[in-house]
Amino acid sequence: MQISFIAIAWSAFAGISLSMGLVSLNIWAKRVRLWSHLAFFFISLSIALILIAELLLLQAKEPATYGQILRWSHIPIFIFIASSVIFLRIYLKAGRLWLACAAIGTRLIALIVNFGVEPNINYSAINRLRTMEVWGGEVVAVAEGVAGRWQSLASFSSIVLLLFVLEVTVTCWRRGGYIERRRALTIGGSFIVVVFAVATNAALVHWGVISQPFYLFGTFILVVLAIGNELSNDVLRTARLAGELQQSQFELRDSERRLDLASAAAAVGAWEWDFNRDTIWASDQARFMYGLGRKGPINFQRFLAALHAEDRDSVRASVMQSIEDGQRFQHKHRVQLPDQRVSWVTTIGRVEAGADGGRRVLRGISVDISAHKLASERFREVVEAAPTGIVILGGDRKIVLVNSQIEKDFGYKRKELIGKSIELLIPQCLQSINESDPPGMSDRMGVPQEVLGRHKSGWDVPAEIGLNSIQGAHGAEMLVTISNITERKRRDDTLQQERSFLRQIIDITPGLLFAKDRTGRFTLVNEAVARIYGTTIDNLIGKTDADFNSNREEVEAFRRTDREVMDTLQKKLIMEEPITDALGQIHWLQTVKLPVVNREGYADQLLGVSTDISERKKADLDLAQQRNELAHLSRVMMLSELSGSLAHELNQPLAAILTNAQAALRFLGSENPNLDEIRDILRDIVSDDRRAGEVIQGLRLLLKKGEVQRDALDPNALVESVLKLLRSDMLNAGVAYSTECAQDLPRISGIGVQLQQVLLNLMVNSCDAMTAIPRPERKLVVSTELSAEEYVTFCVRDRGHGISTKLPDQVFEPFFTTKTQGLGLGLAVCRKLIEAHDGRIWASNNKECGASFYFTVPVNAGGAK
Amino acid sequence: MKGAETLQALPVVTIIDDDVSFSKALVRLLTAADFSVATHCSAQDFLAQYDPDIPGCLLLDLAMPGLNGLELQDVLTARSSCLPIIFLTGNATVPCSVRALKHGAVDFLTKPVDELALLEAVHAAIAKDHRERAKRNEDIELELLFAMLTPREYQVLTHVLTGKLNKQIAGELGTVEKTIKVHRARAMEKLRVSSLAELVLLAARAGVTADAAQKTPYRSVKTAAQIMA
Repeated sequence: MQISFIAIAWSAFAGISLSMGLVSLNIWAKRVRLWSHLAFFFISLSIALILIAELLLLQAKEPATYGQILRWSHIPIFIFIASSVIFLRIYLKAGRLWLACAAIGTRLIALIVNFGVEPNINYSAINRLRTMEVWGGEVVAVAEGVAGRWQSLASFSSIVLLLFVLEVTVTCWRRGGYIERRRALTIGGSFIVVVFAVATNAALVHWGVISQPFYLFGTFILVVLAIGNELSNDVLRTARLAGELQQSQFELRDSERRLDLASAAAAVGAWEWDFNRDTIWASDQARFMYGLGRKGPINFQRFLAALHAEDRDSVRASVMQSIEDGQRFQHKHRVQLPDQRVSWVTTIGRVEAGADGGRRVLRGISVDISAHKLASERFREVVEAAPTGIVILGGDRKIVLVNSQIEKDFGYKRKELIGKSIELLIPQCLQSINESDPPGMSDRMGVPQEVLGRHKSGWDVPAEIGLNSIQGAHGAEMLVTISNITERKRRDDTLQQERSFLRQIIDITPGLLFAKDRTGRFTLVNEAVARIYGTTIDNLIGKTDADFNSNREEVEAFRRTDREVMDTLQKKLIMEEPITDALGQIHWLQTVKLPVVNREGYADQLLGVSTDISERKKADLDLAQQRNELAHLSRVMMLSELSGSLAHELNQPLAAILTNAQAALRFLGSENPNLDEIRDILRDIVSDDRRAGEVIQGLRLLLKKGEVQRDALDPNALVESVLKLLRSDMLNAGVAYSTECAQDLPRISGIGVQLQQVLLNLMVNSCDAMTAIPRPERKLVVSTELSAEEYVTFCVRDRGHGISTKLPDQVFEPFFTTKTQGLGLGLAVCRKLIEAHDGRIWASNNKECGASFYFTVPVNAGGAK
Repeated sequence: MKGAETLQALPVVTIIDDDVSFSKALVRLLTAADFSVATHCSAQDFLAQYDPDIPGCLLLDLAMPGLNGLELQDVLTARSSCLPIIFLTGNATVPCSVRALKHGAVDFLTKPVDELALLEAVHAAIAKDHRERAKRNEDIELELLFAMLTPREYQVLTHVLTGKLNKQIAGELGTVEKTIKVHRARAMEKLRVSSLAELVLLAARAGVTADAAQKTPYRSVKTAAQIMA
């Protein structure tokens, strides 16, 4: 058979294409990352297959065979279009994704439709194969038939592809730069030519506008050549670079090591971001800093992921800004380390030409500033949290820093103050500063002074400022601390008010309030003390009692109790103590003294509260006097009752005296007076007179008024003295009396006349109680005995009608009486008297008949004479 | 007769006072005034030794242990003692003095007592005692005289004293005038009176009246017996 030119040419093209594709496949297989090479392999492969399919079409004999081949040829076409689109996207890094997808998508639909219709997408029917002679005398088959309904779908997909390629080319071209434009021109151009030509040709053929075979498929080789050229350029460059790389490898390694060492030492991490390829190189220190691990590729996304979530956006924006305007970028951000720590890193970078000269990279260093940041954060927190307002003034005396306390105290926002004069806050502040210039030379520095600040709203803010010069980043600065003392002032005022209020209370107290130290000096006194001593409070402070009290005994007594209280740490109640006032009058005080115990546990002060009980004491005395008067009155009344009996007692000796005297006179009148008889008479007269005198003496005592002297009394003598007075009365009443007095009784402490009165009263009552019974039964017994509790008990027992009340002690109530002529005061007075003697009086009915009245009087403890 | 003997005894002033000192002084004074004096310190003591035939008087204190003066007075009255009592007391009260005098006290003196007043009182008391004792003796004689009459003679006599005629009396007593005449003459003989006037006088002295005689025909006998005892 003759050698077909077409067969040779088409096979050769297919071979070239396939071989170039295999080279790329090989490169891809070696370096996985070069996906463009794999894409190119598929392009080459598809082109080879298309060429073979086209050759078969040209030599087709049957229409059916033609249709089938045409149908199957759509598979390599799809592969071509898909791999081309992918290649362009990868290699030129251009083209819109949706367009790319549309191109691939529409072609995929066309492929599906192609296998859904008979015989293929291009034809709805192929009527016959026409042979035609082409140049070189070769006969090729050309199909004649009806164009498929879906032919336009295929054409549409081609148009989309064309648009994509155009877009890619234009984008690439626009990037500028030699390499970019060359690539746009060669690759983009070849693709445009091929796609346009093939698509147009196919459309025209299928619609039967022109009748010719598809030998334009050969134009595909343009693409293969163009891409092959570009890829081989890369390979060449790579080879060259590899050589250079080899050369600088050692230098680089050394310098890298040095850099690593230096950066590790300085905690500086170096990095470089090839933003075109989205690869980041980072030094070990940088990797460590960002917690990225020692190995593994890094891209921008991974870098961002290493950052603290809140900082990612700002870093991205800052980086993009820098890439866009080529400016240096600097950013402080946080890094979320794998161990959950958050560190602060500051990064400085700049867009620079990459290692290959043409490529631009972002290169820079990062420094871990966590410690620094922490310190400054702490400083900021401390400053912010300080309860004192803090202002830092720069060298020009303008505000460079304020804390939140200043905002709070003065009502300004921070930004309103920065850069302003301190005069805004403290009008006299600069004056103070100027006065204290040069800094550090004046005492005013560091010494707080009270000034008036001004609030934003215009009112005054009392403040205390302290000025301190500090060495700042920009030379000498001034640290101004401003304490708002409004509250303190108010507190001081309140305290002052409270103090004066308390002072008033202390002074208004009628009692004496005072505090003294160990030396007896007053540390606190109130008005009442000052009044007594006739001076002022101020005069008293620091002085002692001796300075104001002329009565040495009193002062000594005060000192004695003061010391006692401070030494024993026990509070002491002094029931009554005299104090002589400035006028020489004696006041009676009831005083409580308390030790003021300090931390060391001993008392160096005492606090005293005295109540002036002079009035009370006077009232007590009045009461006693009243009681005495009542006692006297009741005594007088009783004596008047007994007057007959008493008169008899007195009368008896008087009568005897008179009679004796008359007898004596008669004897003397006789011729021989018996002188012995007369002597006897005179002796009797003397003794009777004495007897009369005793009676008068007893009466005088009973009638005496205001007698309150307590004496040590013999209880039995007391009984005898009363019996003596009552003797005749009891005779008259027919009462037989007897005594049962215990011997050797101790003396009792009491007022004799009052105790006599009580006995007298009880005995008279007893006599009265017995008037209703026959005379021989009227018996009265008076007894005394020592009871256990150092008391002498007196008892008057009768055999009368007894006490008719349910409660025998009721008879001691005032105005209780069973006598028709009694006032009912006698026993009430008795009880008063006995109680005044610290004794007790009670009554009870006897078992057989009559009643017994008892009273007790304490044994004399040696106090009374 | 015993009564006749006592009339001749010397009067004794008896002092009853619990106050030894005063009674001693009294003894001195009365002795100095030539009185016989006896002392007792209590009423009981006195009663234990009491001899009603001893004339004199009592100087009696009011207030004494045991029986007091007034009680003693009552006891003596109950015993029909006619011993005059002079109360001598320190605490004289009006009720006491009234009571004492009503019960026959001779005098009521208060201590201290004036010598003259005391002696006068004592004299008066002794004189009174003397009188009383004399009168009492006379009464006893009269009573004895009347006691000699028979009841019928006494009865007739009482009628005579009322001034009735013998005839009237006989009529009332249911007898004859002659019998009355005999009784009347015998009675007048026993009474040693010779005329009606003498009889009336004697009867009056003896305290015999018509009524009393009629009612208590034996009174005189009893009284006489009493006196004799």
